[in-house]
Amino acid sequence: MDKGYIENGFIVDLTGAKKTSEVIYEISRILDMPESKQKHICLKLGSVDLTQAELTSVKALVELMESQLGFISTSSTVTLESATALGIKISEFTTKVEAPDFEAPETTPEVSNALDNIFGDEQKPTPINDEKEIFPVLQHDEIIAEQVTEQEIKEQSDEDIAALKNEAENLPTLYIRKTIRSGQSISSDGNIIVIGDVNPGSEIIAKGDITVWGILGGIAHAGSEGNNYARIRALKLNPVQIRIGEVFARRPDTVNLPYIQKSSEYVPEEAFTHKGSIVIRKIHEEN
Amino acid sequence: MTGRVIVITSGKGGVGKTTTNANIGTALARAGNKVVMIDTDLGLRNLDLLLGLENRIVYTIVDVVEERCKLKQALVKDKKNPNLCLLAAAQTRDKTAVTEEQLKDICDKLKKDFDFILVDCPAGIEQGFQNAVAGATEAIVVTTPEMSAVRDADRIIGLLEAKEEIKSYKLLLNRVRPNLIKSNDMMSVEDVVEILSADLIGIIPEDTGIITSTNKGEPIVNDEKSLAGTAYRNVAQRIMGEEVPFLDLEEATSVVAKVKKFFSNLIGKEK
Repeated sequence: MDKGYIENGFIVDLTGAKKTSEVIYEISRILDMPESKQKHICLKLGSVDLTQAELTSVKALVELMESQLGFISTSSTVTLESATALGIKISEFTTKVEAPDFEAPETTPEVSNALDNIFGDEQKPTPINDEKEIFPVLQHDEIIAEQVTEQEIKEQSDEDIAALKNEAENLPTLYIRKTIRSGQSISSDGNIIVIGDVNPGSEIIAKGDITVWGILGGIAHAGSEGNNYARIRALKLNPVQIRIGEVFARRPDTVNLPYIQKSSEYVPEEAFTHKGSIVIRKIHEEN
Repeated sequence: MTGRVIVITSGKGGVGKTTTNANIGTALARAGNKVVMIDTDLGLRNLDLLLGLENRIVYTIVDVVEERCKLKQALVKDKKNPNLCLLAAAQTRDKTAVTEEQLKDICDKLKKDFDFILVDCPAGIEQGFQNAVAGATEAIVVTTPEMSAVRDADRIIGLLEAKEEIKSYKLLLNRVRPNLIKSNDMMSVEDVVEILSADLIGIIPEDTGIITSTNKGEPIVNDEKSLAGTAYRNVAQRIMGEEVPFLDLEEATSVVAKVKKFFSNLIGKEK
């Protein structure tokens, strides 16, 4: 969102907002920041139509947050009429000064809920959600991954591959029913099943597959004796590092969040190697 | 009489183990229990300062272990509350001066005369921690809503779970700042509890009064008006088996609450 500076205040560019709810939502986000206290707020509205009542609410909202509504610009005739009726100054913004950027905080659920309650049916703007880009594929360490690909695949015959793929089925399984905590290390010559979370700071090493009925937040190494066909499954994969056979991937720096919230909405995930890199996919019902 | 031996530990330093110890101990004693606090932080003793008892210490736990005095002689009575005693740590020795068996022995002896034995554990997971935990059957893990403190608490809980003698452990969340949680700058209480999957025994708000009380050698539980003091008194009551609801630390004056209130008023008017 662009913000231009005016005297003792700033301009909020809301030209992207197409609905009243979006306007209110964005304003409440900005006013939540301490920097916006006791300032003149000028709104740059686009084509959105605000009725007199709605514009009154906007003005009241701004004043509630100990700020003042300076002037607004709009391309909508409805908003223009409302503003004139309410005696709000209308202006065109011609000059634009770069404002120092401050990070907009994440919208708290309370605000969203409050808005939901009011503008029930209207769709509220979706906050930027990077999660999709974050986790379907872990960015693998390219050098190691490439080396593995070229060597391993050439050497293995079809029979070997089939044997490796089925290896997990023939291995014993270690069954653990507790939370694995920081500093704890579990290793097994077979598969490992954990019913509970695997917290950051812990590690799990298995010759076969690893299955976690919870959040996997530590280090997981499946196929520890070189089986690149081993798999790691969890209700939510958030490992610091994930290793399968000789391939390893680490959590991208952009999502370096050791702890993530528990949620009933997680879709189980599975990690496996594909062409020398680790791929994570969500296991949906149809699969 | 068989007292309960509770170790107060955290892994990470500076999260408020000793403050918690001093306050819970004082609160338990105020409620009429006979309480003894053992400082096992040999070489870095603090608990006596928080209670304002430094000038009264003649014998320390090392003197007891090395049989220079009787256990009873080493117990320092609190200034205000005769139910409260302190067994101080030696400032001039290190953690190797006392062994696990010796500490266990001391706890067993004190159990006969006291309702509660609170063991103040040093930071870290080395010998000092092992000593402190040796005699205890219950634990309170102190943490703050920060990544590093939570990580260390997780480690400590793992170690406690591995100890057969520890029958139960509870989580105490210290230095909580509701405003920071609101603005998503701090982990929320729920987050921490879920990550550590442990039962909560108390939520203590950040309180500048703690600093003044520490400097004065006067635990904040003695201040009836302090929010942190109330929170500590509630923890003591929960230890005694009473059900006390958690304090609502959220301030109704936050911006989000204002927005909510504003809109609900507005809708009410339109209808």
